Amino acid sequence: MTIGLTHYLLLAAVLFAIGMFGVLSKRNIIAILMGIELMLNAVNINLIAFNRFLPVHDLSGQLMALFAIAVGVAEVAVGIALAFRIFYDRETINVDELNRMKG
Amino acid sequence: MFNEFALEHAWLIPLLPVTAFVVIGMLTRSYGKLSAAIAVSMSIVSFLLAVGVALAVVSGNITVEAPFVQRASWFHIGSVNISMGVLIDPLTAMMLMVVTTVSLLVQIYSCGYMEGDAGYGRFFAFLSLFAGSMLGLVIAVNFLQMYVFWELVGLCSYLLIGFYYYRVSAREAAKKAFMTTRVGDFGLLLGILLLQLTFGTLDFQELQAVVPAYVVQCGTGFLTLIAMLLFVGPIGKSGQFPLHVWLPDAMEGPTPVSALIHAATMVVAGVYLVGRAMFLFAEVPLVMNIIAWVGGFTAIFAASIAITQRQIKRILAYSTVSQLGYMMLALGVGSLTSSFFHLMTHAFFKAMLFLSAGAVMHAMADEADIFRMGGLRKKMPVTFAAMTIGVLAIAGIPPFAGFFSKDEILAAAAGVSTPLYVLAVVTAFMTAFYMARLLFVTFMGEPASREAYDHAHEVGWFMRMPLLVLAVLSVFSGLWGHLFGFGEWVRFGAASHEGIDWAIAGSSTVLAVLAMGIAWKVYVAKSWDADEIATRCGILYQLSFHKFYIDEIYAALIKVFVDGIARVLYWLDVYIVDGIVNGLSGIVRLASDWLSPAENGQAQSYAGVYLCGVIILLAYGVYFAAKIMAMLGGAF
Amino acid sequence: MNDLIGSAVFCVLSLVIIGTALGVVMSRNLVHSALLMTACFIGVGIMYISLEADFLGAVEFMTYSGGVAVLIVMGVMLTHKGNGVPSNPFNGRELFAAALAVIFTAVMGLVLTFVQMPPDTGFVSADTVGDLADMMLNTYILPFEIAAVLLLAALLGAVILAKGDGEA
Repeated sequence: MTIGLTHYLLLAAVLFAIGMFGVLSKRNIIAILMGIELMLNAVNINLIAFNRFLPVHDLSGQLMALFAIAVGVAEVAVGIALAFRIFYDRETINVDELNRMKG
Repeated sequence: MFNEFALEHAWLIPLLPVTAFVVIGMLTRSYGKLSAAIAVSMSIVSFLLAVGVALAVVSGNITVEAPFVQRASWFHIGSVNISMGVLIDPLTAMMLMVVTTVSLLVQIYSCGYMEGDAGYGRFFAFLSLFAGSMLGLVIAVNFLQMYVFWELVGLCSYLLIGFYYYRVSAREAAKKAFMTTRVGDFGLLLGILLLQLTFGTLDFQELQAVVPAYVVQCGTGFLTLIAMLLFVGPIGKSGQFPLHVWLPDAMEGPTPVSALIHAATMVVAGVYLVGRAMFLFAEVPLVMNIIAWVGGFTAIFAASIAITQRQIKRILAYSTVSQLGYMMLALGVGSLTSSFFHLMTHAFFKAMLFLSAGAVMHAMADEADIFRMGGLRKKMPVTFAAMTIGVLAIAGIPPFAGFFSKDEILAAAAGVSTPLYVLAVVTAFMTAFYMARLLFVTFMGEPASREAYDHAHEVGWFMRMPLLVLAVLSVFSGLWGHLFGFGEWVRFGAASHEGIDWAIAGSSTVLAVLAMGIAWKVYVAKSWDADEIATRCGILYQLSFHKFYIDEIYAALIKVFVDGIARVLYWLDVYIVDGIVNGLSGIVRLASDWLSPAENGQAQSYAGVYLCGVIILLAYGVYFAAKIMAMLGGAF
Repeated sequence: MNDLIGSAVFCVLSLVIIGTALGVVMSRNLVHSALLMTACFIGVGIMYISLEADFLGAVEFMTYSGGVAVLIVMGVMLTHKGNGVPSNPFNGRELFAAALAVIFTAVMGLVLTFVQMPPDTGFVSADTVGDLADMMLNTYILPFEIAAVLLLAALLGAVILAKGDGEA
């Protein structure tokens, strides 16, 4: 069995779904951030797999992944800062207690 | 030279009074004398121009077949081009003469009559607008232009009847006049719209060319409907039965206004419209019959009411309704000439009668009941003379004006239908009687109220002069018209000017004299007791005195209909409209009750819903892609 | 033979990645989640290397397994109450979330069955660092600069957020 693009994409899909599950089902805001990181990695796997298997002539897929990593890291930094701020203000980092948007 | 100028500038005739209205209304309203001067001078110029137009018509080659027309484009809507303009033919010229003459005289009279009234300036503004609107109506080239001025005339009548707006009765009368004529105007508007739809034009000249061909091609079925609708307008405006109810109440306005409304402006508009559109009506015999019978019935109906009325202006008002019935009858039997001839003479003597009545009331401190007057001939000789001439004229005694015009109508009616002729003759008899009654009771006998009698005085020159002019016209206009071939000019179709039918003329004269004799017996010689006759007539007297209860019937009908409709609409409003609105809000509330739990403030559940949407879209995309691939046979 | 090794590597890496990822989301202990996440990122990094993207693999190790993991652990520590309650509970919607995840995977799988993959003619670079540097400093200089600005903004934002308004 040759490992092809399909397998990588499937793996990325599963990883993405797991990340999604984490985002949707966790109470802790840091756990949610972890889920988001998993989803970002799934996307990066996709990008690099495309670069590897699709008929292209440069490393633009990898470069894209590189930028995505940069954005993801920035997001983690801000996210952690936010979480810290929320914890500092409210003594909790449970998202379901942050329901001021309730209509 | 002047004739040419007048003809070319005929549009100035209505414009000048309207200018006076604007100037007075905007600038000089509070300066009564100045306002009156402006109004009267504008009227004089208008009058002179009208004279010029009349001379141009008589001397030039302008006939009914070859009128003088000026048009200017008014507006375009899609393919509909409407123009405004001036249409001068003998009809117009005659109407211009009559309207300018009467309105000028009425304005001069008003200078005296309205003296000291707080609304002096306002009054002249309205009078000017009234005259201007009527003149604009007269020179209209198409139905739409006519309709615009027609409505303006209605507006002015509203303003003037309600001139004493602080009196409840005046307000009510104004509203009544406006709304009653609106009923007619609605029919007229529908008729005009149907005309536009059917023929694609509203221009009198073009319609005149198109209508006969249309009748040959399509028959008269639809045209009957149009003509009927058009005739509803004149029914309202000219006070024909059953929309006559506003006219007697219109005397709530100042007396000069009554004179203007009854003689020259408002009411003859309907007659003029029918005359102007005669080419259309004449094609539809059914409608002509209806016009004739409505006119005939109105004539006798109103005359029978006038016999028992006690208020001087009310008697005159019903006589106007009756005389308008005459004109309609004449139009209905196809005699445009006699109708317009009568319109002219009637305008003169009815204006004079009203102005005389105004003079009497002025002298008697606004007393209106004729049975509280009496014996005024010594105190007011000029007014008495004028009133006498007017009564003789309207009664149809030769050689006064009414004799000629009325007998032409009688002859025309006799030539078409005997029942109509009988109706007209009976009406003539009654007219002579009640007018004689009015004259005798007011001026003969002994004063009913010594105090009022002592107070009475002859009116001033401003008011006397118009009476004199109108008296001259009332005496001679009929004879002039008869001798100088009125029918040669104002006619529909071939000229049908005949000599006097002596049998008809003689018999009607005899009847009129007889009626006046009876009136003398009853009211002056007192040989017969009026009250006893009234008692003997019983129900007939009651019916007549209460104007056949028409107003009451209308009130009841309106009550029934309006209340009924209101009840239905109330039900609709409460249960249907409110139901829909409440139902909608109920649905919204239910839906919100159902949906609001979704709005729980949990970002994660929002994200979940959002992802649900993403997945559904994805699934749909997959399904769609599958279909496309099936279509391509798996080539992708 | 190469295929076999490649397949084996892929299978092992897949198992590691998916297993650790599941551990991240299922664990009741936040510290365990953080550690498992680091493991997952290491697996992903190795997978990058197996995809001929060695520089990306290195970046992955350094930023995610290194920086992000440290950040997360710091966050965990800063916000940890340590009063005995489970530090990483579910919020009661886990069944719904699981269903969504499964359906999502199914739909994506369905998509993959439809798409016919092109032959493996991808680009393999002998010098990924050099090529990436070329592209980044020539063609994609603008995104590179913007990324720099973004990182700076994120740095400042994070500092201000963590420090708090009006505090010295």
